[in-house]
Amino acid sequence: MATGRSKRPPSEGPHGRRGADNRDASSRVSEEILKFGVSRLYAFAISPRKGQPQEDYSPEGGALLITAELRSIIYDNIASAAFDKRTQIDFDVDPSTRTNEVRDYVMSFAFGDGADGRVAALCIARRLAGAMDNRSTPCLLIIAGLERADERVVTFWTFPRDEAFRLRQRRSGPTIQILSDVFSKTSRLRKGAEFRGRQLRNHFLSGKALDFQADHANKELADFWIARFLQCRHGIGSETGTRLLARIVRRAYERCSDSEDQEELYSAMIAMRRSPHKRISLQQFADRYLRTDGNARDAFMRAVPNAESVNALFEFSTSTFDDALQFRVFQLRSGVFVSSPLKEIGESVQISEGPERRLSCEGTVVDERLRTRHG
Amino acid sequence: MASPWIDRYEARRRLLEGLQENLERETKEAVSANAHVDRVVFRVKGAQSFAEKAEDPENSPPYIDPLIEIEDQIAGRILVYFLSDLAPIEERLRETFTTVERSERRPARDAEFGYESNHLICVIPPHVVPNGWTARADLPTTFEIQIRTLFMHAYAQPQHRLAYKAAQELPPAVRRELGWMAASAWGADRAYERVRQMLEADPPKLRSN
Repeated sequence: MATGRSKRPPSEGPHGRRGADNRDASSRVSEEILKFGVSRLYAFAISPRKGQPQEDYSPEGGALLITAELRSIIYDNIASAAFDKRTQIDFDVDPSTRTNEVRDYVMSFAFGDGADGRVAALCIARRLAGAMDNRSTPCLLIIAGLERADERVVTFWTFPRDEAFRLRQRRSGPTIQILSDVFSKTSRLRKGAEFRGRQLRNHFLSGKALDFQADHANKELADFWIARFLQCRHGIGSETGTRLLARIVRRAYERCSDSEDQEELYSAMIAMRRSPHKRISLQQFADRYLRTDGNARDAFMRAVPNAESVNALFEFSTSTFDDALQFRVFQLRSGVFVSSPLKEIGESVQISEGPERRLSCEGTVVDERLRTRHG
Repeated sequence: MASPWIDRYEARRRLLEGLQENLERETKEAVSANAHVDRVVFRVKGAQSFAEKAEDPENSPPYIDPLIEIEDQIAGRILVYFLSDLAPIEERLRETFTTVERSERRPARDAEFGYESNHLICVIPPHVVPNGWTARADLPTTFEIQIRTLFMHAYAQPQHRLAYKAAQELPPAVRRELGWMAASAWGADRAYERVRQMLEADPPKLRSN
């Protein structure tokens, strides 16, 4: 891990044009986290050990002396992670005992005495090694404990091993040395998690996770940090998140009076259904499929229920989405309305693009009703 | 003398009510595919009831911070027709909400009849919290859901009003009447389940007009 304190404000992440907002939020988080004192700090070099017994594994590392420089790095990392804008994760608790292995370690690290903290840190390090297979890069695990009165913050970080060049000027001339024992502080493979609360039965049930691979199309990769290592699940479940997305799209659609904006929302829906990236947040949906500064995007973001849900990742379910949205309604120049289940578009309902969009539909009539108006 | 908890509890009522509304909608959507759901109702705990629970000398261990720790400040109830609906509804809820505790409330002894209900404690998901929720540090992180049949409810609800909060031991005649009603509800649930199974195994022919 590099030791210099970064002057660069955090702008990395899935937020794109919201970088300015992030900087404001980050400075607020910085001020808030500075009220906590760093009380515990552990670092371990972790190599993949999936499938091997972990009990006797002693990874290189241990407790660190908390220097002013290290303290500054911890504050800086927490602030730049902008955990308040990351996805919520919940510990996957055994409901019969109300226990979760990682939560128990986190609580022990946060509230236990020095020996408890040491054991918890080692168990967390072993667990990480056990969750990593040979596709994983060796990494540096840093576990930090912060406290303010009876409140605690526990953060986990992993930084992947990297190689770096060092240029040296010698009498014989410049030389380049390859450093192979460094860990990248800025890699997109780095991961983080934050848990905070008091020693109460319903605190430390949820946290925030930083994981740029959590929306990876490969589920094995996507689940490594949050599900396999942290033993957590996403705070918004698959069906709940998908229904939420459908509700927001529908509201945005209703708020958009312009047919072009409605068309943009419709195209976004179709693109989402076909995307291989099935794990998504509302913010990512807007960033990927809706034009920046467009009315459709604006209507979509205004329909999001609260700030807490904007960046929450969930597993998109096509069937739930179709069930929730159900119909697409077309108005033809002749005054005819055609409403179709989403799944029939492109099948029995054909739409041809061109100077004019034309619709054709063919099928067997099985029912006929008289209505006073379009329903 | 009024409990000091009442004012502190009431100060958050608007937020609790906002959450109640959102959780009820979310739960209704989650179980909407099941045709055997009679109703889904959520409520905010009354301030007096909260204060009594916070100050109950029998709390073991006592609450450190009742405003956060009491988990039924928001509670929902789902009533289903048949015993065999309990498990699939619970499964739907566990897919929808992160469940941290599950309990089946049943009489302690086989020969007893009494209150029956399944209870879940779930984490409040991020998208249902009303604006202003995260700015306060004195709010719960969990809520309760009860799942029961109509007959379980038919016994539990009047009994709760009449006898549950009685300060003293109930007279033997009252306990015997309550036991008879609980046994009747228990038996009715099983009878309905048998009827359902019989009709599924041998569906009656539709009457032709």
